[in-house]
Amino acid sequence: MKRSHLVLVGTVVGTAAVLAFPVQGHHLVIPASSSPTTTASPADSTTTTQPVPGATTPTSAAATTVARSATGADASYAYGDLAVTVTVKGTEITSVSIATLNSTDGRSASIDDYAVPQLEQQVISAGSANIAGVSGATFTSQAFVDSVASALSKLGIS
Amino acid sequence: MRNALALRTYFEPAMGTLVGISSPESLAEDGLRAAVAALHEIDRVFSTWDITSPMSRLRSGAATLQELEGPDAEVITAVLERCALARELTGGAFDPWSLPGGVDPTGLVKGWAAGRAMDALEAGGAKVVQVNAGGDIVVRGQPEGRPWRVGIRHPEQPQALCAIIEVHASIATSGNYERPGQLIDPKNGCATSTALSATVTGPAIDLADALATGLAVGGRTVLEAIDRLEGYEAHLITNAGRHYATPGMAFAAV
Repeated sequence: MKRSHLVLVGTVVGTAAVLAFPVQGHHLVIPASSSPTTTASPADSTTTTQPVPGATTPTSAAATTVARSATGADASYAYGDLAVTVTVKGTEITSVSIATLNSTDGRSASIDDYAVPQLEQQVISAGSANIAGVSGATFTSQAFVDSVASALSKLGIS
Repeated sequence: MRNALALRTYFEPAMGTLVGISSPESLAEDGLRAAVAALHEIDRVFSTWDITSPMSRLRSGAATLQELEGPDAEVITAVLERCALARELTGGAFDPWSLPGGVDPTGLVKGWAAGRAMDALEAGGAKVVQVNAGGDIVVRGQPEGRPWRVGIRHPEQPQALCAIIEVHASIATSGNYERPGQLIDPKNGCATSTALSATVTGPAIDLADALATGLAVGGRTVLEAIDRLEGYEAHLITNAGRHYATPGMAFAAV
């Protein structure tokens, strides 16, 4: 059975996605041809190398490129600091994650209708869920983009 | 075992986040360029970080709607009309006019932008495509004949999911976990949240975006309001971790 492959956008990390990422100035690069292409491996860097579980890419070039990760500089935003970890294969971003998690207060509500108790203990690994996207509240701040840019710079992609 | 569908995603930094455009197809270059242009055009008009943006000038009183450029005034008017609709539908739980610092449609603009980007992609011939504007997702078509499966981020475990939804048009999630204090109760101007996570699906992504914000603020009453709204479904996780959903919410098996 065929199902959608996980694609990571914004806030969740998991298995690798098939991504074409801007390699020039962090802006969209339109592929010159309609076929999937992968740019050459980036220059050596001091960043760590780690395997990306479940990675599947449409090109053999991408499949032979190791994954590398870097965490961008802490960037301030209106409610604190955040840092973004970016994983790439070659010059394609395979995941973007935010490590920050803020707690909320424990006020309870009482709603009897609409209850879905079977979901309450459910924790699904994003990497095993065969999803094609993640919906979630996200940072929308310049700090997020700045930290992504910082991480890419550390990876030699900018 | 997973037989993964190969999606290519184009990322574009816009609106303070990364916007992803994903498709199993080869997307037409013209459509992609138009979609990206639409994102940046909306950013230019509505940015609240850029104090010179038309929306910022309107908020600060530096300009009236009549003094703005015609096209800018038109799109702002259109967005504010959608905001007024969302305010009505949520009984005021979503109310851009009650926020500190003047009218702020930010809670609807990200969804609006995703919708305009999708319009451009469809005009460019895209049939099976997804736009993800920082968690606000709009989809068209069905990859390999199956609905798009979208995870809802687990509010307490950022790398996990708490549910999977089959999405046919759009989905948006709001919550306090990324930015405590972001959600403002229009009734008193104070930071509030009755929810860890609030998700809305429905035909229009801009409305889903705003309704999700209203749901996070208003909780139960907004859930009931969405239940009465044709085409829209909702999922709510309260601060106590209880899950609630409208009966039509399209939960998918893991």
